[in-house]
Amino acid sequence: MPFYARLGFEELRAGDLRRELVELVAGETSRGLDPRRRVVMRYRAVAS
Amino acid sequence: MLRPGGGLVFSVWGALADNPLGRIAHDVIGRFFTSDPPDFYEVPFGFHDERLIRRLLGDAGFEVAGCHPVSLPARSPSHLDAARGLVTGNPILLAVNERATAPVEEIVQAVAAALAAEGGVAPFELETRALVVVARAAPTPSKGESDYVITPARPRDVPHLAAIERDAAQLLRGHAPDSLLDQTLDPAELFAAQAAGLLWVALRGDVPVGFALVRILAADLPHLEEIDVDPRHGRRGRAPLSSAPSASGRAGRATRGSR
Repeated sequence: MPFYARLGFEELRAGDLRRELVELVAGETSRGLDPRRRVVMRYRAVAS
Repeated sequence: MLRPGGGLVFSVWGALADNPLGRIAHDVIGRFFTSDPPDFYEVPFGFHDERLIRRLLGDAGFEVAGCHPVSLPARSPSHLDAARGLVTGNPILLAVNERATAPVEEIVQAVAAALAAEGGVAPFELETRALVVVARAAPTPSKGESDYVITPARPRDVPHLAAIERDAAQLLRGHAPDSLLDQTLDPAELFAAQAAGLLWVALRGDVPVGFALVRILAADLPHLEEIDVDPRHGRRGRAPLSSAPSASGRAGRATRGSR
């Protein structure tokens, strides 16, 4: 099981990202990180 | 799983270029299937990069005591016996049978002829080259985990973090641009984060060996911007930073951006 998933992080689909996170990913991409090999994950510290 | 401190000794073949037996078998068999040459021999002879082997062992918690090149003659009663073994004595035969466009015996004869040219007929002999690797599993992490403390960073921790970041980045070589891996966070940003309570460190004997930096993207969107552990202290099962976002108190959610 991937490391962050084991810690309880859940993967967010690219289409569900908030504007701030879309910008974050775009910034990483512009610095040379391949977005196909990146994933945005969410950790819920408080059960919802 | 090896006992802590246990020995691991294994051997791998050298490159095809250094092993005429494999090279000849690979080349001659490939000639029978030009459109789809079997790649079987590239597997056993494809894991011989000492630096890669050392890195994989290090990452897996082994200390490498030595990598020793070994060169020994392979002998067979005849070139034909050797060829039969090289064509029918391992999974290459599955690839040959699967293609089914050349008779196995014909391939054996062709390999035998090529072998004889380099290793004689009877007795047949050719040099082989391999790498013998001697490694040891990391010793028991004595009391281990309890020696680490995860705590909000202090200003004096900040100057240690660039080195941790650089060392941790070495694990990502080949997966991210080198220009990014050589970069470290702006110390001013780290001091600001420390002051804002958005920086945590893992301490060993009061010295930082890991850290986590959270950036607030929006009031309800804390982002785990950076998390690095000195590789010499990695994989201790503490997952320091799963506790960090919740420790910030105001964070209901945290995001993380890398696979």
